[in-house]
Amino acid sequence: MKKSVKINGLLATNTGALISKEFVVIADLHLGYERAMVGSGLFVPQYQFKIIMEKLEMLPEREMMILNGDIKHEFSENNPQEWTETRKLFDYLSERFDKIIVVRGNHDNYLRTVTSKYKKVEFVDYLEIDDKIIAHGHKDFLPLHTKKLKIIGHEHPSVTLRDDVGVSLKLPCFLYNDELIVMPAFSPLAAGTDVTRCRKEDLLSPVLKRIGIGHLNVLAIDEEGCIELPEVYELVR
Amino acid sequence: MITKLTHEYPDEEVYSILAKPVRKWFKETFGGFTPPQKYAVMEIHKGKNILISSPTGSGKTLSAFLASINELVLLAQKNALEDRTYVLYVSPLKALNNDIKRNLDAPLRGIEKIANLKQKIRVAVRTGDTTQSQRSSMLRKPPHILITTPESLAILLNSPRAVKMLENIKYVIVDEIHSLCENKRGTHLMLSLERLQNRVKKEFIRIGLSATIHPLEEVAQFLVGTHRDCAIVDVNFLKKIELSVVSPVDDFIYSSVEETQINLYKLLDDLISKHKTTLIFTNTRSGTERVVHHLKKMFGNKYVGVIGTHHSSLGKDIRLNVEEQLKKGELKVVVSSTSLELGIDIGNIDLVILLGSPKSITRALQRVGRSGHRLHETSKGVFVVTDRDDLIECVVLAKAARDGKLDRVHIPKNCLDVLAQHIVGMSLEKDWDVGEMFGVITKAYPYKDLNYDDYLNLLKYLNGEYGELQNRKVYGKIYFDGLRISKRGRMIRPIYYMNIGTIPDETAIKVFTKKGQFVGTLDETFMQRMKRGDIFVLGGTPYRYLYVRGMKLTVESAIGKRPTVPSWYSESLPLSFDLAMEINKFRKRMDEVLSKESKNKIIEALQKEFMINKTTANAIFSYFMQQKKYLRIPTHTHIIIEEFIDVDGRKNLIFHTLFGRKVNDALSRIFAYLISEEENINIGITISDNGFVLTLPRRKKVDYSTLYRRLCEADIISILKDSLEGTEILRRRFRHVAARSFLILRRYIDGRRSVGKQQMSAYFLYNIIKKIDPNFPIIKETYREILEDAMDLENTIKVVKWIKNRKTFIVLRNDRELPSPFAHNLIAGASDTMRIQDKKKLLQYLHEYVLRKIGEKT
Repeated sequence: MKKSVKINGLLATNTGALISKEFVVIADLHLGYERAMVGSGLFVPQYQFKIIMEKLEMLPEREMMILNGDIKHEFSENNPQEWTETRKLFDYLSERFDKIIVVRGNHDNYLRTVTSKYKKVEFVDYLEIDDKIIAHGHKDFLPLHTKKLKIIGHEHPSVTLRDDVGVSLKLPCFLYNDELIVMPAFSPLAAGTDVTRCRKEDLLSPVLKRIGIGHLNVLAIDEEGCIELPEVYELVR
Repeated sequence: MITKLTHEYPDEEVYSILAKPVRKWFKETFGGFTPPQKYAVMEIHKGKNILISSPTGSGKTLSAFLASINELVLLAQKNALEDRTYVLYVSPLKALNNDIKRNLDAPLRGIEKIANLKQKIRVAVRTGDTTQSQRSSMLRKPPHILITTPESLAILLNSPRAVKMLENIKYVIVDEIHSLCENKRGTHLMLSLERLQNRVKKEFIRIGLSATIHPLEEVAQFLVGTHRDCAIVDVNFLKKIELSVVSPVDDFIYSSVEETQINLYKLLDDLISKHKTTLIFTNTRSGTERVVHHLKKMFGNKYVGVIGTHHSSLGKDIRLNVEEQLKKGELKVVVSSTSLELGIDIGNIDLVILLGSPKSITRALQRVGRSGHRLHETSKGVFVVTDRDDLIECVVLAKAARDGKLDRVHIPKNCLDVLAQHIVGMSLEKDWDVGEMFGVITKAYPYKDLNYDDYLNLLKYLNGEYGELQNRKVYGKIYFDGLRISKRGRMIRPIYYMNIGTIPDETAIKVFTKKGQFVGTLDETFMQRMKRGDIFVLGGTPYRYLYVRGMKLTVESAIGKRPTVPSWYSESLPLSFDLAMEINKFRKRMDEVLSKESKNKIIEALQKEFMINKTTANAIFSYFMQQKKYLRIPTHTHIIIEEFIDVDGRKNLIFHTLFGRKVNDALSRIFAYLISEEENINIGITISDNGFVLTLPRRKKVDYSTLYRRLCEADIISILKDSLEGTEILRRRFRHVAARSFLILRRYIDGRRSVGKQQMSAYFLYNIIKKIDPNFPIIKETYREILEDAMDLENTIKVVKWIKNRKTFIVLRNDRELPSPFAHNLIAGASDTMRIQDKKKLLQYLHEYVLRKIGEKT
């Protein structure tokens, strides 16, 4: 099984990253997610940061790292786990990359407080680079109304594979065609929108609500490798 | 030491210990003592622990209470009655608690009148329904007799003022102990009692009340714990029971479904009209609804206003109303699932109909025992059977019951989740030495063999040691430094109170047809696996998933279509292993006799031995003869495997293993696992009481001799644990265990944050914890609960041993194109799956499957 697949001139990895000659882009880390669960009565032990760091170590050397939104999970300031992990993340990224661009996501309030301490970090609402538009996808603003290749996150797409005796497996995935790439969540925890099971109303991103997902190809990812699948509408037929 | 009482005390001796007014009231009201009273009252008076097993209408309540009431009266006469509780009564049902209070008021008021007592004896009920003002007045003026539930008792133990009133308790009565001991509620109660005993200076007297159950010695041990004595009173034999088995049609095979249905309801109507009040037990909630619906539809006005429905999905008011009407004798018939099995007073029932086998001899007797209100009245039970397998099951059951055979009860042991809850409760009471706490816990029967390392690991988990060090404050529910256990923070007390209990929250989706007819309930996690258009089976009928709104799923009937997803069967009762073995023995005898004797002789013998009519005996004969002629009769010594290719070209292996669904649940997974590993395929599993079916996705050839060899070499427990990965049962049970252990709080305080669409399911939690520590106590308990309680590990190992030691042979018969008569019911069972264990191979397999399916459609 291949560990990466080329889509639209970029390399999509089974860890959920997109790699070009100059940059690496990942989305939706949701640091501090476990601690946020405690407030809802779920005592999930801390787990994902270690995995996220391991996945980052596997990334190749590039000039630029682009974080496409929702680096941290919480809106409030009360989550100490978030802050420690966020700082550790930026410490690491600052050593490895020459430039770090954070594209703002809907969970990233107060993030600037942390990132302002790092010289290499730039904070933007969207990024135009290499004739591609990178935005989080929680807002369907003007820059995303273009024929250029758009790269968004926010949706955390996943796909369920099932056979006829009923064994099923849910995997995170990339959704793509030549104008759009929807990235899976880099976080191993954040549950996602199952494209084989959702209706248009269930989609999170207004961008996808506009464009529709039926004609997007699916690239499912797992520790073991990438699984190339046809368009969404073929899978739900 | 557990001793069976054989000495019935004569009336005069019992009267001699009673206070004058008590004696007078009793003589005037009853005249004499009933058998259980003749045994029990004196023993309790002498301070002995006792388990009383006796039928309805035998004066059980007074057997338990008389000695203590007598003592209270003696104190009241001397004006020496203190403001504290002397008697604690616990039962699992709030309705029963209310009944008991009413039943005590009569004698107490009667005695008070005769005696002209200055002090009144106070009785109060304390449950979740008790109002705040009632609770406050209880603390101001403690009741002398307190009636409560296991959950409320646990709450009282942690309320300092309430515990004060219980500190010198003398008598503890546990009612319906037969239903409590087989689940975690009973485990929970027994720990509460040990905690209570630990605070009371003198050992209190334990009195257990039970319906038919076996073995009584084990239930007695359960009641008193490991190092106390107990006497047993068993007077069940006194109640005459009349059992019969009837069939709505003479021949199930040649009668159409409509004919069978019509005849069934005609039969029910006939039986109902010949009796004053009939209680019909179905086995499922949807079955209950269906029966009432059809009776009303077919017989119209006859049943208006005089028929009642009773099951746990109905609202409390509806159930209470039915119970009231029954008590007053206003109903002609009540249809219930299992909810009316327990001992609340339901008036005068003179007939119990069991629609379909109740799946265990003990359960049958408990149900039939609800009829014949007074001791001298006969309990009358009629089994109305629904198909040929049901017929045989009921006929064998009835005979076994007549012969006095009962199935063994299974008491869950070493439940770590219930223990976790109590440890938190105990930490709130006071500080403990780690050995001291262990000492109290292990006095309770379910924990007598508790492993000390498991105990320490549980303490570490509760101390929050599975997260980062700085998070212990957040994750910890107790404070444990290796030597002492104490409470952790202010927030734990309210969290504890809000989350006490063992009954899992039902996140049940209610299922309705388009026309609005209630079908049944589904577990939420199960429903999430389905999508529009999927066909699943509920209550034995296939339905198509249409849409879901909130907690309501709408479906349409899909009769004749095959399910597209494995179905869950949360409702149906499993056939007990003991009864399954009785049926096996019957099959073996039939097998032998069919080769030797003539048809007429066999039918005559069946009629005589099993007390059935000629048509029924004939039906049984034909069924067995057909099976013997077509293939062979499977028994416990000869397990038959049939191979059958279905319309989709899949190979189905039909295993005729009549060991009950619990054992088959485990057995099927063991075989599925071994085959899946060998052939690298996913396997569908369909489980029933009489056997199981493995569905292989392609026409695979199975090497049976390799399979046999691998079975003999297999580590059964290890295979079973591995086979549970990704299954429905694992998800559900983990969620329940996690909630009981406070890993997931059902009710939390910090409601500020909304989880939104990113709701993490308990299954995610499971996967994370498994990676961190596979021996995590919550995971360990999940496996234990599934293997020991849900799947009957003990008897599964027994069966595998029989196969290994060649006491049981496996016979392969793939020489027939169609399944044998005995196999027909097996194919429509409930299901689960076995997935390829190697992740990479599983991914490749599913990938290939999906692409192939799409290719086929184009």
